[in-house]
Amino acid sequence: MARPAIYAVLLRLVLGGVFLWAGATKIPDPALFAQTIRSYEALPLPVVHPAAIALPWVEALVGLLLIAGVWVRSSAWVALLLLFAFVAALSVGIYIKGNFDCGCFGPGGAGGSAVSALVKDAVLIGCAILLLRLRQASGAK
Amino acid sequence: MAGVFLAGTGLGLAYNAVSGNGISLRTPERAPYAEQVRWRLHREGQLVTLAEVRAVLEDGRTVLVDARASSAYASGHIPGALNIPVSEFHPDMADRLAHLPRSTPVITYCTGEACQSSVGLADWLREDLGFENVRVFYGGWAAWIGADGPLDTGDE
Repeated sequence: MARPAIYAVLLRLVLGGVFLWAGATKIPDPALFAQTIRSYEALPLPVVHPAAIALPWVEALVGLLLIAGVWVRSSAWVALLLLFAFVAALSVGIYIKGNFDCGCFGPGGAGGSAVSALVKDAVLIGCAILLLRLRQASGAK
Repeated sequence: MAGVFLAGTGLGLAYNAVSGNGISLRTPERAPYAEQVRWRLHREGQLVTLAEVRAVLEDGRTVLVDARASSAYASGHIPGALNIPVSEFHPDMADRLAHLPRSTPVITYCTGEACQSSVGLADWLREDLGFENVRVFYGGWAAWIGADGPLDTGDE
């Protein structure tokens, strides 16, 4: 396998693994995730419950598709879009409340603080952009 | 790209409709009080799930403490649980845990999410008695019975 292809597989697995984990930890308890979203004070109130219902499944599906290598380009774009949305929400939260436990990976504060989550998101954004560029260069869909 | 969003949203809506712990699509102005307590416990790492309680029954190291009234305890409780009935509280009840090292993991529970005794009892065990690892099975007796968990009857 050519080196760019190996990099693309690694990026898919890393990005997919993180998204699958992030979604799977939130799916069992939408009420708790709704409270987490509410605590950010970044989304209009009517959007909180619909986001808590849909977002974990979108994350998990993106993760699964990236790992499986199906619809990679679309999934990487959705991942990128979500990561930018997370960065915006975290930035609003930090501006309003200072550093706080981000709740990014469900119960137990496994996601760490909001500032560390911002750094992780920046790294994942880099991974998603690189993956999209590698796919584009190889002509893959 | 829209297909991934739509498929994920569809899965989320379907799961929310069929799972026992779905939430309403409409966001309430304020979260119910029990939801706020549950979230505080979750953020502080104190929230214990039904699956975790089942697991600790196997390991035998964790002590369960039932915060319900002694009559409710006698008619059925989680096997091995001790009883400190918050509604009949007396400081001497601390003697029931005197034999335990303060590092012993403790899980409190009461009737269910409508009942806050397990949270108050956990605070007392931690702050007044010095137990270092106290968590709350907030779903409580209702969740345990709802999942057909085994039970013991009678006094301690």
